[in-house]
Amino acid sequence: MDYSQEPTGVYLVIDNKSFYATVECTARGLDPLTTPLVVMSEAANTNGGLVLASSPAAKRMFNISNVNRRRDLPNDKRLLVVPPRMNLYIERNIAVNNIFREYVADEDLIPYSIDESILNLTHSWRLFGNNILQVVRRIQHEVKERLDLITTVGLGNNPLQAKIALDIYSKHNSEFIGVITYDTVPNKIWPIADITDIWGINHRTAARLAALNIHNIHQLANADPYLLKEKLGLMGTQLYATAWGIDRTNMHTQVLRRDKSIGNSQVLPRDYCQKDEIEVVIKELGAQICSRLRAHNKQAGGVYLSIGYSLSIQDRYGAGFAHSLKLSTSTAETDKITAQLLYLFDKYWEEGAAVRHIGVSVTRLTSRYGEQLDIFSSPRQDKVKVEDVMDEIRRRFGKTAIMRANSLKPGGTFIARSGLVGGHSGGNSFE
Amino acid sequence: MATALNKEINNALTRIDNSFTNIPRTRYWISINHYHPDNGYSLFFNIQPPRTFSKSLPLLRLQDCSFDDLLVVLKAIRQSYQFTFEYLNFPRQERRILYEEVK
Repeated sequence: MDYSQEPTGVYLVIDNKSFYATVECTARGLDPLTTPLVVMSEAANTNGGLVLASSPAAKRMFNISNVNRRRDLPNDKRLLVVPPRMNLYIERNIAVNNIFREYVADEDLIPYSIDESILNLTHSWRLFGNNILQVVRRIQHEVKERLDLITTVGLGNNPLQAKIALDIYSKHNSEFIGVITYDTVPNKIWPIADITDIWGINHRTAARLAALNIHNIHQLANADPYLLKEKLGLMGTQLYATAWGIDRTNMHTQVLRRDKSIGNSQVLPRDYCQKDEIEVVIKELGAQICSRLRAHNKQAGGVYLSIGYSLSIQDRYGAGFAHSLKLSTSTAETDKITAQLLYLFDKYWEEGAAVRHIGVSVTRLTSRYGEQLDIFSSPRQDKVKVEDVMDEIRRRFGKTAIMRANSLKPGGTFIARSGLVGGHSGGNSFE
Repeated sequence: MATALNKEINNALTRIDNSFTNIPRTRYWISINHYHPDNGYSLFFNIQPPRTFSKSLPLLRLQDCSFDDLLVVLKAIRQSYQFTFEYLNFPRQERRILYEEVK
C-alpha cells in the first residue's frame, strides 16, 4: 500500500485507566493498581446494585466487569465497594482535559468520552521535548502528579492508529503506551486475533464480514475493496481503510450534525402496573424532552414511545412495544406532545402488564421559528411562553424549583431523579 | 469561614448518623486522606461487616482546606463519635499533631 498520499501526523488517544475506580482509590489514599475496588450504584432501579467500574485488581482477582450486578460480587473482605460520584468524575474529566490543553490548541483536542480524549500533537510536540515518546511520558507524568490519575496512551500517525494502539497494545506495556504507525500496520493491526477488538467493528459487522468469508483483519486487508463497497456500501470502504490503518479525519473540520431526535428513557425502580402511575412517568419524561427541545430552539413533528415490560411477564406479553406517530403540526408545547405519547400508550399497552422501562423521543425536528397556524384551533403561543419561563426558573434555581403537580402523584420519579447525573448518584446529593 | 466549617461538620455528623447502623461484629472507622488534587482532605466512613466485602462512603470533601480547619472538623466529629481515625498521606509532623490533639 502506498501511504505517501495519506495524511500523517502525531496523534494521541489518551484514556484514564479505570477512571471512576481510580478517582475513588486516589481520593481514599489507596493505590489504584493494587486495591480491589468497585464503584457500584445502588439506586432503586438497579435491582440491588449495578457495577459501574472496577479497578484492575478487582478485575484480576475477582473477574468483575462493568456489567456485573451486586449478586455477582464475591463475599470477600479484600473487596472494597464504593458509591458513584458522577459530578466528581465530570470535574476530574474537565481537569484532565485542561492539562491536555497545555499541550495542544483547542481545535486539536476532542474529548471523546468521559475518560478518553484525542489529541493532535503534530504541530506542537516539538515545544515540549526532543522526541514524541518523551512528550507522551511528560503528559502522563503531569496528569499523575497533578490529579493522581493513571493514563494509558495510544500513539499513531492518525486517530485510528492511535485508538487501536490504545485498545490493543497500551495495556500490555509497562509504561501504558502503545504505538502504531503506517510502517507497522501489517505487524500490529493484521495479527489481531478477534476482529471485534478493532474499533468500529462490532459483532453485527463481524457477522456481515463473515458472510463474505472474511474472519480476520488480514483477510479484510487483502479483500477486494470494490466487492466490500458493493456488499457493504460506504461502510465496506471504511472497513478496508481500517484494515490498512488509513484514517483521513481532519480534526479541524467541524461536523455539522442534524438533530434527528431528542429522547429520554428510564428504568423504573419497581414494576409499574397501575395505568395512572405509568402515565405520570410518561408525562414527566415528555416534559423533560420538551424542555430540552426548547433549549435547542427546536420543535418536533413526531413522537416516539417505547415501553419495556417487566422480565416476569415477558413470556406472556412479550418484551414490550415501541411506536411512533407524526404530529399534525410541529410544536414545542409540552401538553400537545405528552397527549400524543399518552395516546400511543393507551392504544398499545396491555391492561395490567407490568412496565419496567419507558423511553420517549421527539422526532422530525425543525427550527423553532414560530407557530404554524391552522383554521381549526386558536394560536397557543402563550402556553409555550409559560413553559419558556419555567425552563428559565429551573436553569437559575434548580430542577425542582418548579415542577408540574403530576410529579407529586404516586409513581412520579422526577423528584427522586433530580439529583442524579446520567442516571447515577451525582455524589453531592446526601443533603 | 466558621459558618462554612460548621456546615461541613453538620453534614459529616448527619451522614455518619445515616450510615452507622451498629450491626454486630462489624468494624466502623473513618479514614482521612490528604488529597493533593483538591489541596485539601477527603473523609470517608468505612464499614467492614463480617464475611463480606467492605464499604466506604464519602463523608466530606474539604477542598482548599488548611490543616487547622481540618483539626477543627475532626475534633468536632470526635466529640460525637469515638470511631477510629485512620490518617493517610500526612507528613510525620502533622500526623503527630493529629494523634495528640484529636482524642
